[in-house]
Amino acid sequence: MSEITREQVQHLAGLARIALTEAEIDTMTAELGHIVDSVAKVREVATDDVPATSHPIPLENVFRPDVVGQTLTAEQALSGAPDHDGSRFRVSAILGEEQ
Amino acid sequence: MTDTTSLVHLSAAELSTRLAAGDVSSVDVTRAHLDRIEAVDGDVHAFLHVSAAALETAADVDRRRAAGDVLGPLAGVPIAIKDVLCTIDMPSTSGSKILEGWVPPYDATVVAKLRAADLVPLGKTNMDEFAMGSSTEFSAYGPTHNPWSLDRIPGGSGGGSAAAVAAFEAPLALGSDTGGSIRQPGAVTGTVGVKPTYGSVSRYGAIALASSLDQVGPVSRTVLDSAMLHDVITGHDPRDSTSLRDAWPSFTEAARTGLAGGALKGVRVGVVRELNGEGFQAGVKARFAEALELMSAAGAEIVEISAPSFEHAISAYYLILPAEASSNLAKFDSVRFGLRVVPEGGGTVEDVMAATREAGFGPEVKRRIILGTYALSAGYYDAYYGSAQKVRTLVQRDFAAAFDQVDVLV
Repeated sequence: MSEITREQVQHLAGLARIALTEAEIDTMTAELGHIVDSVAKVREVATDDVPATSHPIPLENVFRPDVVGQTLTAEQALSGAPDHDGSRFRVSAILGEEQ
Repeated sequence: MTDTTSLVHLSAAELSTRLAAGDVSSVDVTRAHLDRIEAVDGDVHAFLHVSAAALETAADVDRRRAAGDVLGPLAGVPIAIKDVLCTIDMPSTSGSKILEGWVPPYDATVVAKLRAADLVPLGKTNMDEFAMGSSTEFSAYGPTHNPWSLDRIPGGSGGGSAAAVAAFEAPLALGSDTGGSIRQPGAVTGTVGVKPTYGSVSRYGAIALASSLDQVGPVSRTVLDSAMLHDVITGHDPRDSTSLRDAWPSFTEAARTGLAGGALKGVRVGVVRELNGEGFQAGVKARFAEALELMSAAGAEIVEISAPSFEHAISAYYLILPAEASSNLAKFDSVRFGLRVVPEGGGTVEDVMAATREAGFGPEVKRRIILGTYALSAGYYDAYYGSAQKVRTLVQRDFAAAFDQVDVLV
């Protein structure tokens, strides 16, 4: 049985920063329930004695030498920005009025 | 006088030979493919963008060849590039409205390698939005059609690259494969596509879907062509921390040996018992059986093997992919690149992000982000994402056991 509720989808959309419409929340609640039901079997297969694999190749601590390499100029980095002031990205207020 | 219409029917290997011999120029070859795109892409819609610089690049290769420069084997051969890859001179949208018109400030490493090897980029190919899909119907810029039958899908997510190659609009293309996005369109369009070994090809500049699975790879009409392209794009890249330092053998040489025949003598070919179940069309099964007979006739030993965990792989994939995608796609926040939508009456940066992502992402992308956020959220992480990672270990063990018995799986 699906355990996904409408409130959960609303909460997840907030976490994911997507302003879903009411209709989208309805559709997604149903769809997500189906998907979660169909993949739930992994919970039975994965017993405690099986270690998790996060990545296909076991590389650790991959660092490059600590020297300055080729980097983007400010102009290049800002070239695709929706808004900037010539040296920085410009966004709207970070804090709401009530804060 | 060259018959330029026939040039589009040549393989990359054949073009390579003719270009090196001076029988044909890169400008002729490139123009033939641009003409072909002009003629058929209105129907196929494999391309999202056609390069304005292709002929100029080709002319430069021709000049340097004429001047006696030593060029690589694929120099002057045109290539199409999946729109998931960043190109400094062409828009790179990953099939999404959220990146409409975005021109990256750098080339993906594989694109830089193509340019260094003097291939000629023809343009960017269509794909399911952020590579989420298996039909290219989920592109924000409209679907790509299968050149063999325009009312059918070309597979996906790399339907554009596969269709471009199948329709003779390009001899070669680049794709990216997370859960089949190169290989499945190859099967559906009768072309060749390879997902290379994870870590062998750099992903720097490939717009990430699920980083523990994504690989960039070749798309072509012949195995030899894919091998030649593979040899151009492999190798260590310090800009990709998952990139391996191994020395990779020449696939071109291996493919040429294969072409010479008899190369399957002593090769053990594994057939997975658990994948021989329901859901296949009769024709597909018959062709599969024929392929096994051909391999057997060529000297291969066919061995049935068992991989019991494979039946759970798809469930694990449907948790791992959205989880990683929801994290990777967090970068589309309306700050550094792409779309920005300000809600009516304004709002905080958070409101702007939410409005932008609502307007810029298609339904499939939103669905997977929400599912991934769920799989990673407090209280569910161990049950879903954690369990999926364990299934991954089981699948890996099955593969290891299989490769104790056989050399390859089909």
